[in-house]
Amino acid sequence: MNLSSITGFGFVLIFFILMLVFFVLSRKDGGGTLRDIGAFSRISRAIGMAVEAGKRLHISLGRGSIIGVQAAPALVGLSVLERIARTASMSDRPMISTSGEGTLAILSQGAMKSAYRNLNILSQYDPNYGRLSGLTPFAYACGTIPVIYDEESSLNILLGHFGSEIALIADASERSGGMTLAGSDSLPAQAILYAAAHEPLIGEEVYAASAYVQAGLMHTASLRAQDALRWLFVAVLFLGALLKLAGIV
Amino acid sequence: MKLNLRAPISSSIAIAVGFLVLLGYFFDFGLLTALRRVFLQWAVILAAIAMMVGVANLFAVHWTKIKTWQAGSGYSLILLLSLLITLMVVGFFGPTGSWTLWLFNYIEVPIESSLMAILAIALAYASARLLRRRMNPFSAIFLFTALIVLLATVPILGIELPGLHGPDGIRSLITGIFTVAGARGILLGIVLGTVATALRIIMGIDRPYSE
Amino acid sequence: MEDVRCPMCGKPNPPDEEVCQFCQARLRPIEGFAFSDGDLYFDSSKEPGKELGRDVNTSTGPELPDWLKSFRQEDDAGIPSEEESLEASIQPGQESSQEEIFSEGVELPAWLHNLGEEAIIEESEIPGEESDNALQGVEELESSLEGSIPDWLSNMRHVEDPSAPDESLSTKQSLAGTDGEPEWLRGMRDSQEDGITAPPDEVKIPGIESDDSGDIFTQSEEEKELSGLPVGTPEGITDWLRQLEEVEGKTEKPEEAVADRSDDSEVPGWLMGAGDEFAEPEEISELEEAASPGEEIQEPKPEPIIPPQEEEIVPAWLSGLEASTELILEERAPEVTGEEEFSSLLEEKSLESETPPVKAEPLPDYFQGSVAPFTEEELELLGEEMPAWVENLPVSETVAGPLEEKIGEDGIERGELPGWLEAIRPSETEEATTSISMVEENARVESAGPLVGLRGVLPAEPEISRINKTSGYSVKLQIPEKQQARITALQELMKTEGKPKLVQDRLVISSQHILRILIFVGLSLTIIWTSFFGGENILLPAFPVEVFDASQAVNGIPSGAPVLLAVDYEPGFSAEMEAASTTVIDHLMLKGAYLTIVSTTPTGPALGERLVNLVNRRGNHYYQDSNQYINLGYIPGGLTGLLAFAEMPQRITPSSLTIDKNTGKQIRVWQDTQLKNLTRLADFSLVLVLTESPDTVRSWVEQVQPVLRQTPIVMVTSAQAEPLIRPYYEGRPQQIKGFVAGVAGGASYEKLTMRLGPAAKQWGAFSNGLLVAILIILVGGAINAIPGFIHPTKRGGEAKS
Repeated sequence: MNLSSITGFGFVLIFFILMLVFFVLSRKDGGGTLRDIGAFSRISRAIGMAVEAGKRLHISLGRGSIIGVQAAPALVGLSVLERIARTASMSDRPMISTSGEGTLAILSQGAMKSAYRNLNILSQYDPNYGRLSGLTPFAYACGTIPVIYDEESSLNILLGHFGSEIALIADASERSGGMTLAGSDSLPAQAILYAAAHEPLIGEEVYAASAYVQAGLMHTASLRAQDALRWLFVAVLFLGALLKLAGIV
Repeated sequence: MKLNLRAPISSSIAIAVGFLVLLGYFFDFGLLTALRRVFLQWAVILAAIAMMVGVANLFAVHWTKIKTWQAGSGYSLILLLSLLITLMVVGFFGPTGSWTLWLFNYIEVPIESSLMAILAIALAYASARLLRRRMNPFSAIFLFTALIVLLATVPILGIELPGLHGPDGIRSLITGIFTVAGARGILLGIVLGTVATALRIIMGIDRPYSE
Repeated sequence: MEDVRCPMCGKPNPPDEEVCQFCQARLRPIEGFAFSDGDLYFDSSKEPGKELGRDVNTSTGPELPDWLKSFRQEDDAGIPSEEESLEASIQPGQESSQEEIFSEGVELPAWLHNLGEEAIIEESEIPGEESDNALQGVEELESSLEGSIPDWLSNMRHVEDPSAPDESLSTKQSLAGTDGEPEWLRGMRDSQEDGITAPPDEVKIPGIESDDSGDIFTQSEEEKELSGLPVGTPEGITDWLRQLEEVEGKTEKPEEAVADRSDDSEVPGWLMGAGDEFAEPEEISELEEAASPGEEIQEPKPEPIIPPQEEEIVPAWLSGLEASTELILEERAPEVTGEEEFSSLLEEKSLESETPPVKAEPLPDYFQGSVAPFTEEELELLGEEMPAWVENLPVSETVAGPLEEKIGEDGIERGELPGWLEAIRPSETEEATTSISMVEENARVESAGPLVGLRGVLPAEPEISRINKTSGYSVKLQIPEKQQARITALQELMKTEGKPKLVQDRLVISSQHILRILIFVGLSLTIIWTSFFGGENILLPAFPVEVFDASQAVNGIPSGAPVLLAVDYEPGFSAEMEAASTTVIDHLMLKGAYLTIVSTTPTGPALGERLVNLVNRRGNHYYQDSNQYINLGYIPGGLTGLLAFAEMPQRITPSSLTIDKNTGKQIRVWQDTQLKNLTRLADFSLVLVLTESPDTVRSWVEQVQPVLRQTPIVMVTSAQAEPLIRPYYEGRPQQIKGFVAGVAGGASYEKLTMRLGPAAKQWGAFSNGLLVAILIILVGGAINAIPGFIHPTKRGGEAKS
């Protein structure tokens, strides 16, 4: 064991404790209030309008491997997928999920199936609602674009690990007249989304999606823990900079 | 009474394995390290199998489109034919065979390069309409920074302007300080979100594997 | 004996008490009334008249005035319940007759009903028998009310007529005549015999068109007056009744007397010239005697509730009243809402009553000239002849009011009211000084409890139990404007529901398409023109320090040393990555390095092969598979796989993609190649990572670099990853020895190594194309910024074009 390992484990332990503490507090105050993110407030309305208009909802989970770092935004996308699938199940056109990785495709099918089961409409579920669009980034983008065009998707939610190919998907969504809410952990993708998407999620806002769609109190608690540790990081950075300037470190 | 044991069993496995791998990453004990390595190998194998499952799912989706004569079924037919041909060629000649490389070099790479070119046009279009879509000071700063970096990347009419080009130019200042700082800050936030997501899975809060 | 609980306050009282010691409420109900659950109810089992033991309907006697007849009719209809009276009073616009009012009207004290019985007496065919029956009933009534009849009334028994119906409890008490016939009743009979006829059939009340003599208003007012009247002394009562006896001797008929004495009003004759306020029981008995037997006997008079007052105070209905029972309903206190309501109801009921009037028998003479006791204003109490006892009455102070006006608005001379009556009568001046609530409270007539009929008392029941007349609401549905707007919108939606909507076809060529086409044409023309017709003269960029460090790291490896080449970029980035990495690989080939290709992407191995072949062609190298390089293939699992490869490279990649031509099997990399002496990644001389993704850079740096120890790692990346790589290069300890970023980095590296390659060839087109892109962004941004200034949109709310 070295210092970095101890530091890393301590950080994870503190994070875990903070999540538990905020979870307990959230049960008392109902989760508290989250800062307003315009994208999430407008998405609920867009979902309702899409359902009423008989349009399709499309959610894409990216191409991040489930056993890698890119799995985090994909898992957030899965939580959002399940929540939205319950709402959109009453639409004339069922919701479709696309992904660029095999495990994500399987998990997306399971999430949608779970939503249909909870609504007691399992007979309406079709495994083809969760699709693998492509195995390479551009192949994945090319497989996703027809879903936007041909399936008449009015709302496209892109939550996961995307690269530069997200520009093609966002461009297709704009050309079809649909609304795009997108978020990625990739910095180049975020830069592209700021210019190309209607509702971009910058920074770590993509990780807050599950809390904003009210997936559970623990999601809100983890969001609060993130905020708390962010302040800790700021303090450590300032302290380190000061020590460096002072020549101590 | 029918008991559904799948959910608690799968949750237990997920929580236990995640916890062991996490501990094994921080604490280099004999048994812990060995367990971690075994789990990692299993993960690698499962990832490869998951890719094959994904390919099978891709085949099934497009096959359904062809059977039901949905819109775009022609493209699905081409896709399935290409898939089968590629499988046959690679399976026969090997992954580094000449015909395999020919398919890759003269079909795969040009297609994706063309998509990359389209991406460039889409990015230029999006940049041109940014102020129409989002009229605020941040958008203006975004555009100004992009233009400065682009200008400082290449010589303007063969001339490198001092203060703009070179290691002491504004481009180096932007890319070396501001961009790096902003990127690090965002990455720190992404790390926090990643850890939170992972901990939720280890705690059993998020169960993407359950139906 | 057990203590008696007060029905009002609930406190125990001695059994012999009649009034509660704590709240002064009556402990024992008046005959005909009973306490039940704390409320006073009329005991309907006691039918009026039957207590007297005779059929009062057939009793004969002198003709009774109309107001007495109304009592009789009320008795016929039965005493209504309190609830019924309230329900009748709150129903707006309900036309109810006097009879209805009477039947559903307010509770009347028993003594008041008895008073009505005395006044309204039907003609009896057999006076004698009816008188006997009446006498018997009176005796029974008297016995039942032993001790409850005031003295003044009991003294009236001297002149009572046994044949006349008993009108009050006190009257019944006074019925103990020598023959068993009350004296007062005997007196009444004598007067009848003297020719006094029965009172008029009806007592006309101004404003009331109905002939129904069962005027509840009259009765109620009379009851109030009676209830409020102090109990006079027997002497005083006796005097006026004696005087009435003198009047009885007159041969005038009661109705004629009534007609003579009043202009437009009819006063029961037997009340004309009434003297003292309260007649002696003997006098009242005379009244009964004067009444024809078989007359209807109203409810027995209620026992007076209020305490006795001074002698000089006389009842209004007997003192100096004209022989007119004209009651002007509209002259009542108009300012009192409750009163007005009540009066209006009574007016309506009285006006619309359809019941025939009950003929009343003529009253004894001593009642002639007396006026109904409930008159308030504009009463000609005394006709042309005023009894002496009235004239001898002390003048009491009267409250200023409209009655002080001698001549009213209708030209009728106003009557004089005694002082005590004036005092309790609500006047206009009092109203000006009192609040509306007080006036309303004083004018409100108690309708429940033992104080029923009184005015100005605290309510026995809470306000909430009183059901007020509800205000009328329009039956038409009131629709607010907002609702109306929604209704209109819904109607419009319904109208357009069946109409097919034209689906707007998607425009083939729109402004978006035009702009995209323009961008494509501009970029394409520039790049093509520069590529074919010039651009080679464009100066290559100066190499940055990171490029120099990268070249130094490549130069530092020994000849023929194993180098790990990670090809982790996507095929779409081949153009840029090949331009950046070709010269670096060429440099490695010049050093004779043994390239070991590995990838964490599925297309990586193929890209590695492509790259080697490309460099072979351009650099005139002859790198062969398995001899000069080996392809380990794809490592699945992404970051996890990379971590596993870093720790266990032999187990993760045991064989190559290449098949041995001799054996036909896959080559065992770590046993049969130049890598057989390597056991870990640190044994490689150099690690060169080719990737376009900053995440891949981070993965390699974070997962692999820790196990490399002294082995340098060099990155060749896309320009988009440069900002994220620089911290690894500029940090101390340095995690990356050097890096080459994008086409510019490749061009710099070519310039540095003096081996021009694809980067140098593309540099001209790349530069010009970049300038055109800058121009497009500037012009397009400026054009699109104008609408943004004019019509700023919210974030994400872009207008579709």
